[in-house]
Amino acid sequence: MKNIGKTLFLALLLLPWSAAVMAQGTGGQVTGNVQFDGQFTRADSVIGATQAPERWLMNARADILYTNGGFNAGLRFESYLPPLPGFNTQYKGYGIANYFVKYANDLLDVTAGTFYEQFGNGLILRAYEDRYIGIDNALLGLSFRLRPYRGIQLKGLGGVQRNYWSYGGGLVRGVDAEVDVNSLFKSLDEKPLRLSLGAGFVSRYEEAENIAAATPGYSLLLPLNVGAGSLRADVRYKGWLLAAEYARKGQDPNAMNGYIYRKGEALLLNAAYSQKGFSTSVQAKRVDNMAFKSVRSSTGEMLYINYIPAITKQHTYAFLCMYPYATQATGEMGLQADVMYKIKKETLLGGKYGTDIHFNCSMITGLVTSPIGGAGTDGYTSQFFATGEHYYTDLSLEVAKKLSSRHKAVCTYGYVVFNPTIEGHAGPQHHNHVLVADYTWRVATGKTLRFEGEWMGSDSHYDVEVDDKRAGDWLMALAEYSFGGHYFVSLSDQYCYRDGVGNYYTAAFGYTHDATRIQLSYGKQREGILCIGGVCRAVPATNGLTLGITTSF
Amino acid sequence: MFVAVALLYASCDKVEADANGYYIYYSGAIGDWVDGPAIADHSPHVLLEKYTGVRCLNCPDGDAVIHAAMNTYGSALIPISIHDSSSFTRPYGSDQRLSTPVGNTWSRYFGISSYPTAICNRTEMGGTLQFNPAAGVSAAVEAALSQPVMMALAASMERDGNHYAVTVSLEYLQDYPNPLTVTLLLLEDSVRATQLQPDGRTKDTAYLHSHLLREAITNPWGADVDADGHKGTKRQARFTHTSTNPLVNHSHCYIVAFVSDKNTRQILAATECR
Repeated sequence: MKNIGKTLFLALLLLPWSAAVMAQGTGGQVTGNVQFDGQFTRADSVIGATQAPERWLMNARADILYTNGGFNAGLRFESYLPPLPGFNTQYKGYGIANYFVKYANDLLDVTAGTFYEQFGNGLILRAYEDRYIGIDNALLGLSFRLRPYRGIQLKGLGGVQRNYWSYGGGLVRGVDAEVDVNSLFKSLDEKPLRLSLGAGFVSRYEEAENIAAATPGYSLLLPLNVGAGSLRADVRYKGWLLAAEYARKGQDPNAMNGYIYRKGEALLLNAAYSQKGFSTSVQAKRVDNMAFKSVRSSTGEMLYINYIPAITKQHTYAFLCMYPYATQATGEMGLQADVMYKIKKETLLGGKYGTDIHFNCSMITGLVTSPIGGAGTDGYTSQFFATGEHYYTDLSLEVAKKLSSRHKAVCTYGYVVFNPTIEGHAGPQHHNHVLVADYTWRVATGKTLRFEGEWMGSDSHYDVEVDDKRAGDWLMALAEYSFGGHYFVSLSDQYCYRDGVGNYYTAAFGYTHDATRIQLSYGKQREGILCIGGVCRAVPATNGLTLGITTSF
Repeated sequence: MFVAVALLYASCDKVEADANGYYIYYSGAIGDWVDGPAIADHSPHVLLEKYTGVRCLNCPDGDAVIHAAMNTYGSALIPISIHDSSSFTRPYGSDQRLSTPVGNTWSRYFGISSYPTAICNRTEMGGTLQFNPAAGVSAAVEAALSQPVMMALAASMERDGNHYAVTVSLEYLQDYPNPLTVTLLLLEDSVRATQLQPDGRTKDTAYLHSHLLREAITNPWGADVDADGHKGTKRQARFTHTSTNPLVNHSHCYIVAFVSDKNTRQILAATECR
C-alpha cells in the first residue's frame, strides 16, 4: 500500500480540497476521528503474559472525511507499531489503509477507492471492518448505488479485498437489487402491510494454482469463477415482522472447507413482534459450507467476502462473555428466542418506575453429515433438518429495576454450555452458571458510583495440557466512580477460587471532555476469546499499562 | 440488473468429477508413475495386430473377418491395422502413404513377410505367433481370451486439436516380477485410400481403412512401468503427445494402450479410449 502510485492518488484527492478552500473559503466540511491505544507490556509467568521485545505496543488510526455537497472524499491512516497483543502481527506497519472519493445525488452514488458494502444480511457479501476484532474486509475498486425509481435500489461493485497491508488476489464482483414494493405503488404506500424483496449475486475470480490432491501426482481441478446468490424477503404488518434470506454458493474448494466441492447454502429466518413494553423475536439459521473468501487458500480472519450473522446474544458482562460463540461458517444450525417485557409502573412488581425483564436463549448445533471423501470430492452430504453435535447454548435472564431517582439495579442469571470444538480443539463441554449484580448509585449531580459483582460456577477444570485459563469457578468485583462530569476511576478484580488459576486486577482512570476521552489503566488481562457478532479473535494474557485516547472533530 | 446477474451467473465455473467422484487431474511429471486408482474392469482384452497393405489382394478379406470378429467379441477385441514399408503398402496415385515408422520397426522385429498377417497379444496361439486373418481369427482370439488375466489396464484421453493427454492406469491382478512397458498408439478410423480388391484387378478408390495405426505416442516398445510387480499394485502415469501429421483427421482418432513384458514383448493387457 505504501507506494508511489498511492501517494500520487492521495495528492490528487487532496488537490481539489485545498483548491476549493483557498478559492472559495467555504470549501466544504472536514470531519474525522482519531483513536490511539497503547500498551506497555510486562511478563507474568503466572497468567502466561509475555513481554513484547518492543515493550510498547500501539494501534492508532485517524479517519478524515471531507464533504462538499454531494462530493465526499476520505482517508484513514493506520499504524500498528507493533500491533497490540491479539491483533495479527501482519498488521505491523503504518500507512494510508483506506481512501476513497464518492459522489452522490438522488439517482446515483458512485464510490471509487476503498469502500464497504453489504447485500441483505451479508450471507453472500459483507465488506466491513471491526477495529476491535482486527478485521477489515474493505474492497478496493468501484461501487455504485442506483435509484432508478422510487422504492428500487440497485447496487453494483467490483474490486479486490484488503489483506492487512496488501490486497488479496481474488477479484470480487457483485450486483444486488432491493425493491420496497409499497413505495412502488402510491396506493400501497400507506398500507400497514409492507413488503420488500431483494436479490443479490456475487462472483469471485481467482487465478488457477496448483493445489495437490491426496492422490500423489494429482492436483485439484479448481473453478476459477465462484458464484453465490441470495434471495430475501421482508414482510411487516403493524408490530409484526417476518424476514427470510436464502443464499447458495457454487463449487468453492477452499482451505476453510478442506477443499471440498460441495455447494454451500445458508438460510436465515427471523420473526418478531413488538408493542409498547413488550417485544419478542425468534431467529433460526442453517449454514452449510458457506465460508466464502476472495482467496481460496486464506484461513485467517481476513478476506471474507460474506458474513454469517450470529444468533447468540452479545453479552457485556465479563463472565457471560468468557465463552462466546464463534460462528461456524462451515456448518451449523441455530435457534434464538428473545423476549423483553416491561412490568408496568405502579404495579406490585413494577413499583414506581417499572421493571425491565429480558430473557434470551439460543442454541447452536452442528450438522448431521455423511462423509463422502476429503479434498477433491464433494466432501459430505447432510440432512437439512437434522441437528448434529451440540455446539453452544446460552440462556440468560436479566431484570433491571430503577429503585429510585438515584438507584438502579440490574441482576442477571446466565447459563452457558460450551463445546470447545467451536474453538477448534477437543474436550468435554463446559457448563457455566453466571450470576451478575450491577448496582448504580447517583450520589449527587455529576457523581455516580457503580458496583458490579459476578460469580461463575463451572464444571471445567484447569488442565495444564490444555492450558485454558478460563477454567474453574470465578468471582469478580468492580467499583467505578464518576465525578466532576469528566472523570472516572475504577477498580476491578477477577479471581479464580476453585479448579483454576488466575487473579486479574485492573485499576483505571479516565477523563472525558466533549468528544475526547482519555483512559489510563494498569492491570492484568486473562487470555481468552473476544467475539463480536460471532467473529472472534484470540486475546492473549497481558500485564501492563494501557493508554487509550479517542477524539472526533 | 437481470442482465448483470445473468452475466455473472454465466461466468461461474462448474467443474465435473471423474467417475470416482474426484475433482482432480493429473499434474505430475509426464511419464512419471504414481500410485493410481483401482480398476473396475478385470476382463481379458486381446490386441490383434494386423499387417496389411493397399496392394495386398487378400487384405480386404482379412479386414472383413476382423470386422466380423469385432461384432462377436465386442470391446474384448482391439484390432490395429499396421502398414509397413513393403511393396504391398506403396500407395496408389496421389494417395497418402499409410505406413509408419513404428509399423516398420515392428514388422522388421517380427519378420513379417506376407500380407495379411495377424498377431494376437504377441503370444503364440496354438504353437504359432503369426497367422493369416483371412482364414479366421476366432481360434487365436479364443485362445488369448482364455489366458489368465495378469493385469487390468485403463486409459483416458483428453484431446485439444492435435494435442493429446493420455492417463494410463494399471493394476496388477497377479504377481508379475518381470519388467513391463506401456505402449500408447494413435489410431484413426475411416481413412480413405485406394485398396486392391481380392480379384487382383479392381481397385476400390473409396476404401475406408479402419483402426489404422498412425503414430506411436511412446517409444515403439513402450515406456518403462515403474511398479514393484506385486499383486494389488496400482500405478498410473500421464503422457502427452502432439501430432504433426497434417493428413490425420483427429476427430476420427483414438488411443490404444497396451502393457507388455519388456523382455518377451508379450502383451499382458490392452485397452482403448476415445
